[in-house]
Order: sequence, then C-alpha cells, then structure tokens
Amino acid sequence: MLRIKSLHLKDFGAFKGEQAFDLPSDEGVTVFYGENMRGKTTLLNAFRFALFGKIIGRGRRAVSFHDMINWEARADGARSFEVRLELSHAGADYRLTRTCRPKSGAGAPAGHSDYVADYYLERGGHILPAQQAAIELERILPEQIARFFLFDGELLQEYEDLLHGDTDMGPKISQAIERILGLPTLTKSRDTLKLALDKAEERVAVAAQGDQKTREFGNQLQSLVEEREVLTQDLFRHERDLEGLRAKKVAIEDDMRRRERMATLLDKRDRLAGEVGGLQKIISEKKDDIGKAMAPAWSAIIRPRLVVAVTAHRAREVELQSAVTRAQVLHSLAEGHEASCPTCLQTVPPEAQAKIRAMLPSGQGSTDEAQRELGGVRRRLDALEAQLAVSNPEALRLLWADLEAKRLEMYAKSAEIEEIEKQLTGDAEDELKGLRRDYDSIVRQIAALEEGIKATNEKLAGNANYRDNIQKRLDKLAGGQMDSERRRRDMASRLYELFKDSVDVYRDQLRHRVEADASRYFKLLTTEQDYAGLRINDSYGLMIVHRDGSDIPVRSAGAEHVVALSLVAALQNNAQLRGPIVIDSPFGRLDGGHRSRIVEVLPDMADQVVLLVYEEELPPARAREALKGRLRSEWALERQSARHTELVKR
Amino acid sequence: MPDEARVNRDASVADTIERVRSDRYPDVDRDLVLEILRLHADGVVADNVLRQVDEAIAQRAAEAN
Repeated sequence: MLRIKSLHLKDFGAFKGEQAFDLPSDEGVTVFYGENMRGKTTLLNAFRFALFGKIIGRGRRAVSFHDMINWEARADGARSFEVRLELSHAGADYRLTRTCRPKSGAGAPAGHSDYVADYYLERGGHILPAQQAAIELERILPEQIARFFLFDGELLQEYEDLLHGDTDMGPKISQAIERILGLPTLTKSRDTLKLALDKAEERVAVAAQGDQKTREFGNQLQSLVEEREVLTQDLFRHERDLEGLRAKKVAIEDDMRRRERMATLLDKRDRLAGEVGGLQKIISEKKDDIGKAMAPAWSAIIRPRLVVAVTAHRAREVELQSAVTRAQVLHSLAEGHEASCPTCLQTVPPEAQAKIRAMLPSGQGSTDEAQRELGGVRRRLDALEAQLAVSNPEALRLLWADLEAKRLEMYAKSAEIEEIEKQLTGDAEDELKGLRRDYDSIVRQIAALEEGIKATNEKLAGNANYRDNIQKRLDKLAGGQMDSERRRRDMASRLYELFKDSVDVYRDQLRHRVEADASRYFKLLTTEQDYAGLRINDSYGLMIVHRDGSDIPVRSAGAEHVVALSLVAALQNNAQLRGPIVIDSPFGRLDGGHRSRIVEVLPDMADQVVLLVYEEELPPARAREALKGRLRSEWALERQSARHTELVKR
Repeated sequence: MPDEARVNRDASVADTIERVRSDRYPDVDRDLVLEILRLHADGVVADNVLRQVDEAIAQRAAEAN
C-alpha cells in the first residue's frame, strides 16, 4: 500500500521558496482550497514531476521546465526547482527528491532543452543506486497507471475512449488498467513461456539433426525455427513502430483539437473562396447576356412609336381581313358555289344572288389587291412586334439587377475571407496544413503497418503449422537421444497453454469484478434513479445501463465524469497496487446533488484522498458536514501576488 | 460474462491458475507453476528470467523421467 507522508516544493510553479504540506497518517480526505490560477493543478503536477519527471499542461501537453521555475524566484536569480516526496510502501519509508536545473554549459537557459531533471531515491535513509531506484520506483507506482491515482477531471476524453475499441488511446488505457489489476504477472509469465517453448523446439531441431534417421526433419525444423525467429523479430519491430505511430497520431489529434478553431476558419475560408470563384463565373456569364441584350436596346427609345404603329397595323389587318373574307363569301354566293348563307344557313334564292352580283365590286382585281395589302400589313406587323419584343427595357433592368446582386454577394464573401485571413496568421495556417499532411501520412503508414503485421502473423501461423507437422513426424521416428529434449518441449508447451488459458480466465474475472464495483459506486454517485448500473466491455469501457436493461448510448460530460470516478474507485478496490488518489477538478460540470454524493463516497475510494477544489464548488462547511470525521486536514492556496502562492494550513 | 467468472470473481492470480491447472492441465506440476509466478511477480521481471524458467523446466523434466 502506497501512502504519501509529505510533499516539499522549492520554487515550483506558483509556490515560491520552500513550502511543504504533510498528509495525515489516518485514513481520510485532505482538501486544498484554491481559486483559479492559484496552483491547484500545479500541486497535481508536483506529484507527477516527483514520480515521473513530467509536468503536463492543458490538453496533455508537456510543460517546459523553464516555465515551471517560480517567476519571482527566477527574477531573483533562481535557476532550478525541486520537489521532494516522502512516502511509505510495503513497509518501507522512502524519500524521493527530483530536481530540475540547467544543463552544465547552458549559460542563460531559455527553454526546456536547457534543463535536466535528476532524482535520487532513499529507502530507510539510504540512497539507492540508480538502477535499483528505477526498479523500486516502477514497483511503487508505474507511470502507466498514474492516471488512476493522479486524477485530472479535465482529461475525461481518454476514459470515454475506452468505450470505443478503435481509438488509439483505448488500448493503452486498457493495458494500464490490467497493469493495476495484476494481470502482468500472468501475461509476462505467458510471454516468457512462449520464448522457453521456442527455445525448446530449437533444441529438438538440433538434436534431430544429430541423428541420421531424423536429420532431414531436423534440418527442416531448424530452417522453420530460423524463419520463425526472423518473422518474430519483424513482428516485434512492426509492432513497436506501430505503437510509436499511434502515439504520434494521438498527439497530432490532440494538437488538431486544440487548433480546431483555426481548422474551422481555414475550412470556412476555403469554402468561401470556392463560392467566390463560382460567383465570378456567373457574373461573367451575366455580363455576356447583358451584352447581347444591349444590342437592340436602342429601340427602347422608339418603343412608344412602335406601339402606335403596331396598333394601327393590327387595326388595318382586321379591316383588310374582314373585307377579303366578305368578298370571298359574296363571290361564292353570287356564283352559286354555296347554296346557303354561311351565317344564317338559309338557302339563297336566285334573285338574291342577282342582287349580290350587282353589289360586288367589278372584277377579281380589287380582292387580290386587298389580299396583297393584307400580306404586306402582316409582314410589317411581324417585324414591328419582333422589334417591340427586344426593345423591352424591363428585361434588361432585371438582368442588371441580378448582376448587381451577384456582385454584392461576391463582395460580401470576399470581405469575410479577408476578415478570416486576418485571424489566420501565416504560421498557424502552415502549421495546420503541415499537421494535416503529417496526420494523413501517419494514417497511411499505420494502415500499411497493420497490413504488414497481419501478413506476418499469417506467415507465423503457417510456420507453426509446418513445425507441428514435422514435430509429429519426428516424435514417431525419434529414439532415446531426443527424448529429454522432447520432454522439455512438451512441458514448456503445456505450461504455455496453461498460462494462456489462465490469462483469459483471469481477465474475465477481473472485468466482472471491476464491473460489479464500478456499478456499485456509480449507483452511489448518481442521482438518476432509473440507472441500474454499469456494463463493461472488452476494453474496460463502461456503459450506463437503464433499469429496463437497455444501454444509455450517449452521455453528457457530467455523466462521463461520474462513470470515470466509478472506474477509478473500482480499480482502487481491485488493484494489487493501492495508493492515494489526488483529484484535481473532482466535480467538473456536475450539479450540487452529484457533488454532495461524490464528497460522501470519496473516503471509500481510497485510504488517502487529496481534493483540489475552489470554495464555490465545495464550500468548507459542506465538506466538513459531508465528510464528518473523515476530513483529516484543510489547506488553503493563498495568493501573495499573481505569481506567488503560499500553502497555509487551516 | 461467463457464470464461472461471476462465481470466481474474487479469486487471486494464484487461485485462478490453480483452478485452471487442476481442471484442464492436471499433468502440469503445481510447484513449477508457482515458481514461474514468483519469477514474474508484480509484472517486474529480471533480465535472466528466461534462463531461470528454462532451467526450472529442465529440472522438472529430468525429475519426471
């Protein structure tokens, strides 16, 4: 069991000079109250720096050592900072001191790379040699599982990643969880036994080569063993490269998330630029249309006269048409072609026909003349009407109005682009483009490596099949000289299979344990009565379960917070390695009801709990009432200046 | 989740592997299993752990002969 006894700071972050606090030996909660920018997260980082030599800022970015020296102390000439942690573990007392100072030869240190951080570890008052210190620190608190002890409520995204097996952080956190639960004892045993089995097979091959009866098989087996060696090394290299690429991908994703605003602006600018291009094309087309429409525009001047002429011609057309039609009908009646009147349908008697003949103008000539004139009027009418159509000023006005509207739209979008470009510095855009290029490249490389790994695994499986076949044939042929090697091989094989099966069985048990405990804590922490508990997936992601048995697939930041706390509590309950929890921002965006529940349940989560809060989110009176006898001490982070905070015990 | 996991959820590493051994691998020596676990306790292994495991297996194999 890891217990923290005290933490000493020297010129670390906001904490100027030498400052320290101790944690009570009794089980319970210690609360540190500090407003924003007073150093709460810095305290969390102090633990992190002492144990792992790292300091993490927002978005999990590493913080430069140069920036961690207290500003006021640095102005007074300080060039280093130090954190000392006193703790006990497995019955021994330790003192871990980690110091950051300028590298020798760095005249005026200006950046992170100008500094070096060294540590030494004492056990029972004796300084341990470097290698032993490293092993002991790894046993006390492996960095891989630190996130479950040094809990930053602002980094919940990674817990949500557990739900989605295809994220890159998810498997890392799963491994960390299994580490905390003690699975590595089994998995490392299994891996060692695999190596032992491989060696045993190699020895069988060498023994087989030593006998004429079995030499051929021995040679084949040896060749397969060598091939397996090569493939295994390839696989190891690929997997290591893949891990590196995945870590880079996660880092770029973090970086891109931080630059999301810039990315959004860039995308918007590119989209607007595309739209402006489109509008320019439309404007050009409209100008062409207007050009064509302007050609006959001069006739708008004579439009009124055209209208008068058209009206007159239409009237004349009607007159002429009537006259021609009347003449044609009368001729037809007069000459007896028609027996009845086409209008009243009465039979026309011969005397009426004679009368009509007398009325008719003499000869066909006048009718033909009327028809010729009618034709002429109609031709002139067509021409006049055509000219009238193209002289329409309204259509031209509409074209101009449309062109103006498009121009205005284009100017507005261009102005917006200009505004965006003012916010996009040249560097930011180039960096973002560079990030995107790198990201795409890494995604392609990951895909290629995954294909490569798959292919190598297939070859290894094929190799294993061939080796099995040869082993079986050898077993039938071999005599006494190979027996001992075969026995060793068979024993290694059985042991390997046993540990392999045990890993799966134990993993299932662990998941079930974590699920049960996390569910229990979740029901204590949540105020929602319709939630029945939590369900765990293969990567230790936890899904909220409704009391009707269905999953709650989408959840808020508040719900995520509660689930993450439930997981941390469940892991503490089940961990082989147990220790304190230091929680920064324990409440996130949770409401008062949830906050109260968290405060009440906290003492059950670990023997030592350190809370870093501000008074508004957890008023001291409420903390005292909720925690009752389990509140062990209270501290305040008191402002001395903008860059100087003092730890004061209340 | 298998019922077996539910029933045995509180079993330790040693208990779990012993249960699997006695159920499925009764021919495997129990003490050898514990020795291998001891060599890998807490997931921190020495550089020569492979040699130690190899020798442990060789010794048991010779004793079994």
